[in-house]
Amino acid sequence: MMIFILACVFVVLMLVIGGDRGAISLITLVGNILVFIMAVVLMSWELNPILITLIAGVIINGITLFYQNGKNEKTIAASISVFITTIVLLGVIWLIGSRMHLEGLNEIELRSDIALYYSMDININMSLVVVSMILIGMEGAIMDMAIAISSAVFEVFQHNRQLSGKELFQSGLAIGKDVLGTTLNTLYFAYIGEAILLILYMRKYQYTIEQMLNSKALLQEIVCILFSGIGCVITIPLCSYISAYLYVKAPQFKTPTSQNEDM
Amino acid sequence: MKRNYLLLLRKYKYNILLLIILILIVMMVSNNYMLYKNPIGKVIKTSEKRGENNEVIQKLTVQIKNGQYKGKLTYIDNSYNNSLTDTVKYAVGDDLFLSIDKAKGSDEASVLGVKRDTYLAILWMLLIFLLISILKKRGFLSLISLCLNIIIFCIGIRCYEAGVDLIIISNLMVILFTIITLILINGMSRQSVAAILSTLITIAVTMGIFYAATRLGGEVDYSNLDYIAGDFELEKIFFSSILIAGLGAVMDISISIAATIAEIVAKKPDITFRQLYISGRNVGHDIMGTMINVLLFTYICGLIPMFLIKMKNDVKLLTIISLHIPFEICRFLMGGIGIIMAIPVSLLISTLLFSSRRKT
Repeated sequence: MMIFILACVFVVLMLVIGGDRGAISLITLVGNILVFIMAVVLMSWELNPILITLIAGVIINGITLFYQNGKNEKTIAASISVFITTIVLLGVIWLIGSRMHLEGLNEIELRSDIALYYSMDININMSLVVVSMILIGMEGAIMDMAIAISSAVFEVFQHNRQLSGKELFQSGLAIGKDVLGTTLNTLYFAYIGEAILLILYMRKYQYTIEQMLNSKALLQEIVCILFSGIGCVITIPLCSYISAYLYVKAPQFKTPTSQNEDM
Repeated sequence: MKRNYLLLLRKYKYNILLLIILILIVMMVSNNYMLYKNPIGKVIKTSEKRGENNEVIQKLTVQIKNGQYKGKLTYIDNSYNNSLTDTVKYAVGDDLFLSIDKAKGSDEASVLGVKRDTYLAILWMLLIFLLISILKKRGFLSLISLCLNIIIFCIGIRCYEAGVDLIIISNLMVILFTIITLILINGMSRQSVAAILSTLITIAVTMGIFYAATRLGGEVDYSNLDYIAGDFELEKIFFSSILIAGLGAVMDISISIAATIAEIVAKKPDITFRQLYISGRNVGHDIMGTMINVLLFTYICGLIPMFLIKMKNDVKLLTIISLHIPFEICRFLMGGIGIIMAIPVSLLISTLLFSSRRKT
């Protein structure tokens, strides 16, 4: 009931304050949630979780960037860099995730009723699911970063078409520095808000610092934040480079376009 | 050719120095066995054989790394199934916390858990290296604000254990987080003041909405919250969890709008109130959608394993969504409401603050 009230408040505020853009964001949000649910359903059919996550990532990318911000050179540059960042980090995540043994239920969940009531032999490889979990957690932050950089570089390029690729790359880096601090904060507080209950629980049951820093429960959260942060940082030079390259080199963008500026 | 090499070396000397220091730290953490009281063993050999129903039985040869049995070998049996949900498949090179029965000596050991701090250190060092080498001074500042926020959080937890009310602590923490983060990111300026004010007001308004919703819709049933432990004050904990979770996003919107309005007023002092309002609103609309997405994905990703286990045990998807995850949904909705409310609030405050300067 309370959730229903909150959801109504959310939708109404979104439409009143956000106007048309709010409606578009709302549709994007619903689309993303549906894609996520589809992905989970497909995973439960025992298809390869990483493959599904990559495909879901591309679709989410498409919905968020192309539907929400229009299909133009900015969103193309952004989506290419999101995709490359994901691929680059995939290997690292898989390596570290499997070495850390983050898969499956953590020690606290194993003691709760989930472990009592449900069968755990589910024929899905949980060490792959961890990789999907981290990848999906990064998705939002990386998209945010990429679109901020590619559209800012585009603005710079619009105002001064004489700039070389290298100069555009430099201004992309400068903008990235401005955006990164606040994005890291958003991530940090979102995860801390999620983990506060867990941390209080661990303190109550007298976990030592060593036990906390080696526990699966806490590390599942920390590793998610760290990888999102690393993803954001990598996106900055990557997206600056790709946008600079696309705007300067690719012939179809040479002519002054930007007709689909919907801001 | 050699000259070029040296030049390159000189150009990146700080980065190389940093990299060496960070690698040294990782190596230290990976060999910190003597810091632990609990015996730790490294898996040096595994052999596997098939057991009954999908199970695989592993025989691990483990070398003990610390304590009185240091250097001795011990053998452990472990079994796992291929879903790895509540079982673990160990590999050569894993460090394990062991429990060794004093009476029987080092021959009898069992696994308590995995030593994960090395990989945690690797990830931290990777993040630090990327932040400092790509972003230089700004990256360093971000790191400092992150560290300060972690310290404040730890102090807050300590105070809670000392008996201070959680609601008071989390309100204080939110105020400190906001001030420290925004000043470190933006320096002591009028923009920061505007952003701090609007963040705090937005959070207050959002929590007001939350409070009204709980009064109207009745109390939530807290028995479905992830970790339930005896006499926990779940209502208060959930309240502070919501308070903190949306904070980062609200700060982000406030600072962007404040910075834009300050920039416009500086460039064009004679701008009208209405024009200022419109450009500020455009900025807000631009970030709103992606910000909500960031929150969505950070909250949604942790749910995947639970969803899969429950769906595999024939719980219907709709049941899980409508009954098993009310807190995640609620936290996400509150974050979203915070983000949207931040737009008009920070617009109002920044325009008032900056246009009052214009008149004087």
